[in-house]
Amino acid sequence: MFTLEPRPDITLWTSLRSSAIALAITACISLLVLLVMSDRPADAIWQMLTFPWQGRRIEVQFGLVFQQTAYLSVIAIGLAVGFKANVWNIGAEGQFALGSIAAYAGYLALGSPDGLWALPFILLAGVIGGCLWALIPAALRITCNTNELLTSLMMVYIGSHILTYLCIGPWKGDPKAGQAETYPMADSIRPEAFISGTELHSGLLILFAAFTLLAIILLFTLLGYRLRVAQHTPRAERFAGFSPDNTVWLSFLISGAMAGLAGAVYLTAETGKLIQAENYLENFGFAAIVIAFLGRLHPIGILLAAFMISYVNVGASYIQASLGVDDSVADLIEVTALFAFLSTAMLDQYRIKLTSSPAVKKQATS
Amino acid sequence: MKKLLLATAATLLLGGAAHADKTKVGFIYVGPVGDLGWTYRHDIGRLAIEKEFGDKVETTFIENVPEGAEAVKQITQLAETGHDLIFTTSFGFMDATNEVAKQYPDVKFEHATGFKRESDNVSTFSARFYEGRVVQGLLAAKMTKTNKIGYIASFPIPEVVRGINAFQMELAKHNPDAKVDVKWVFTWFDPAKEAEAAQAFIDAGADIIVQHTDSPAAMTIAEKHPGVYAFGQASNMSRFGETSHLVSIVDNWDSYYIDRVAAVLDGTWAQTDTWWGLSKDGAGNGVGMVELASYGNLPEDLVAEAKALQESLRSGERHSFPCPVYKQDDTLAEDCAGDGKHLTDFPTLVSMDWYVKGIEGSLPK
Repeated sequence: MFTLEPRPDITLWTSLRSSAIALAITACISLLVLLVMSDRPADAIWQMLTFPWQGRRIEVQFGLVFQQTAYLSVIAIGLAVGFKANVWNIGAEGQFALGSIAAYAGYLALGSPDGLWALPFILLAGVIGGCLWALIPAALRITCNTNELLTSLMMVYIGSHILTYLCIGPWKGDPKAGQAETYPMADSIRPEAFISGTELHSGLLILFAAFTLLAIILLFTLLGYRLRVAQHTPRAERFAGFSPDNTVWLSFLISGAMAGLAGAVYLTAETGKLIQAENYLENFGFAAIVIAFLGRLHPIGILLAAFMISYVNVGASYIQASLGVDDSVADLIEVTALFAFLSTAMLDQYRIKLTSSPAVKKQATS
Repeated sequence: MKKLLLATAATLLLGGAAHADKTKVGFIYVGPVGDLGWTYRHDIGRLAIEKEFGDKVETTFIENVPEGAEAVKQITQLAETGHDLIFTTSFGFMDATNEVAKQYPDVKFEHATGFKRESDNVSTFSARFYEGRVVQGLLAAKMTKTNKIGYIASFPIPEVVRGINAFQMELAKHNPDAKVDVKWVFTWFDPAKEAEAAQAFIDAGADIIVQHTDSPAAMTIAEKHPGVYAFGQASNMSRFGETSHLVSIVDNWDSYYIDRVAAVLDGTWAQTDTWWGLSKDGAGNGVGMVELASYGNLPEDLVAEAKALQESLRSGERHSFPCPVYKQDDTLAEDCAGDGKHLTDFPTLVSMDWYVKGIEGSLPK
């Protein structure tokens, strides 16, 4: 019989070890999945690992990977703030949508400008939009004691319906577009690609800058310390000069701001217009939840996890095009990784001990 | 430098041998292959290519591609993985196709139902589905008892508007009392939404359902209501409407796809804009892109009348939009002024954004 025994010492070494075990489990199951899903499994596995060097232009593949990494990591680090403090905002997808909507509203409010000076204001509008949308579940939790897990999720669906409504209704663009969308923004205010034909654009730098800024705040400032303390007990939180209510507000504010910024950058850099929700949203907001946990809620872990999952996603889209393997293989690998990392995280805090049968043990202790 | 070495090694190991002599043809689908309508028919076209050319070609498809930023990535991946010819089979892929085409001048692109050809390696193709709508207009005129017809429309693009207008003109000719009610669902493939629209029409008294969306959902709803009839769209949907299916407009991409792949194989591929109807040239020659399949649940004399109409459209004896054509506000269409015989392809039909007389409501603008 196995029993779990709390570890007296949690070190970097135990963390790394459990991560390595999780990675190994993920790799094994992924191999099995690819074996089942592809008729040329050896090619599939090899190309999945080395796809950036397989295609015609290496910068195209790395562009796709870095682009996803940027969106996922910036949203995930925002969510991690709340998750650490037991505040469960799982509605980043909605805050991302509202960030995009607010950014487009900002663009319209500025009179559809075509100068680069407008970009900071448009991004700021996106940040505010994401924040405001996130504050709704926060306010409901504080005033009515509703479960923010449910409300923040529900707000995603409301947000995506608002997005589609705006595209069909008040902000409807060219009706001949073949999908519901707004009129495009001026090309001159959209971040340009550094290398033509790739996803590497200056918008990604903005996202990485935001990520770095929040990482520094979390790791090296008093505010970050307070949020970390809040994780352990509400009492400690109060000693640290922080009320539980403030933790809720602040967690939602930060995660909403990051998702909103991501939404605003996505609008300006990727599409240049709002599109009906099912064609616009790429599920970054939901995937970021997985990234936050894979990264153990730590900035560096999040960055690594975002890179790993992006690499898997783009690799899956590559082998879909080259070998016809359905790209749902990426989802399977992502979920496998999540299970592996969550279950091995337990090994950080507990050690497995082999004992004699429970009955005998009971006798011995009584 | 290390990356470069790795890249060379990888190319030597795998890239070379695997697909050196085969021509790779890729497809981007907006829906699932199993939509039993639009995408399904394109996939039949893909299989026709494999059958025709065998070992000389290799085909790939990516299904369920959203028409936003995602489309650019997926088309790029096809170009990146060495495809020589790429078919993008939805109107909404128009900008994405042109964007990627500029980055890969040596790859040929074929975009369905669009009109933008921004670089030399982009061709467009579409079918004159509206020829089938004319026949449907006749059948609806004769089969309706309530004189209420529900028309499920996807997006107000010219292709869909042409269908509505062709249907309405023939309907009004045979049954001036019948009224068409158009509902815009703003989706190509959403069985739940399509079914909901069909149900709403039936609840409001419609006994004929016409659809310009991709799934057989509307047909299955019509099937549940005795006395309600429906038309199949894109593929033969007769098996979903044993007692309700009148006729299906079937898309037939096979002969066009085979032509284009052959052109790539023998090096004669060049930019074109192709528009085939029941026949290739509109004068009865060749297998076109439009077929009418499985007339059913109809009196025999009406089937004969419909088939005669179909044949006259195929042979070019009659046009789908014969003059005089009146717009919704009762003004005569510009093409019909003077001695115009019918509406012209350019610029009228390709960019049609107005209703003909008799349709109520206005186009979403």
